[in-house]
Amino acid sequence: MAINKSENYILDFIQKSGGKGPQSRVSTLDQMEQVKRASLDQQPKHASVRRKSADDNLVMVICKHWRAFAISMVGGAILLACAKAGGEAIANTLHEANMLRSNSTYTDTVDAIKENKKYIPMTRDAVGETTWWLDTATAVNDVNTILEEGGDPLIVLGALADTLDDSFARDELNIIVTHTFGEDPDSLVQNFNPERYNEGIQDPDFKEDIRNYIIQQTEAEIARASIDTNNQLEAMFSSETVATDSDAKGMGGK
Amino acid sequence: MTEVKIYSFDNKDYVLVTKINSYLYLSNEKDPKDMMIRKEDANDPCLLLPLEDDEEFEEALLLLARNKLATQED
Repeated sequence: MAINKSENYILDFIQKSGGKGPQSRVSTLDQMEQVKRASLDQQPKHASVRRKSADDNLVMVICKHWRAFAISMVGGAILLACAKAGGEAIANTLHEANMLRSNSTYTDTVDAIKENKKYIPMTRDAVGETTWWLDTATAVNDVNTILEEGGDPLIVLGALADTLDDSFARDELNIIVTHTFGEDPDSLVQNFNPERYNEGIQDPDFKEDIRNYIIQQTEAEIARASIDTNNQLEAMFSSETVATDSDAKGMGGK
Repeated sequence: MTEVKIYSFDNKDYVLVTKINSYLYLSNEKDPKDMMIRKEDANDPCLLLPLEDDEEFEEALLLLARNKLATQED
């Protein structure tokens, strides 16, 4: 995904959407200003560094603040850049399905939900499927692990929106997103772009943009892996050639 | 309990949330909303430099959004 950092696109995006969004946008803007001031406006600091044990709850609260802050600040701008780049990739449904299946963060998140569904025996819903309930506490832990292991928060959010898109799964989606990102799913997504995603996490524009983003990320990962493989093959070929050359020279020398 | 790295300055203790490249993401232990991003000096890891400008602040945020949010540096 091409991102032109020189355009200050994140701050631009936040400032443009700031006056139009819900109240939470104003507090996010205030918080961003505070963090920016503290990061930019002061002199170098001499710190003493030590390690200590901290309460798990405090660590969880601190991580949640940063995660909510970062995704609120950056997520919308990334998706907007993605939407501007065009949706050619998702024109092909088969390609889209392949790319989603190839993205490990996406599939891990879908699996985290699937594996924590507890089916209730001898029950059937209106269309004859066995009903289930979701162990949200374990699902939240599993989703947090995916994030802590480097999973892209936007892809996790997109996978949750896809997996829990039924109206009866609304409460479960609310619980998981609120415990993971520190904000309810609709407010979080509306904060990205109040005009474009006014319906919240199930807004069709959001779902299209985030799928487009996942496809682009997956294509980029596959391309990087392919380049690595080519480089390795090339290096192997070169070293074999060198070995062959030196062997030949060695033989010739005798 | 989790072991964390603490940076103390200005009579406050900041928990290192994560370190990406040379950027340190810090939160005040007593007030988790007091957050900042600082740069570690290449020659002195105890010297925390301010970010240069808006562009670098965005860059650091972008790095964070696309990397893991661990509780301490690896």
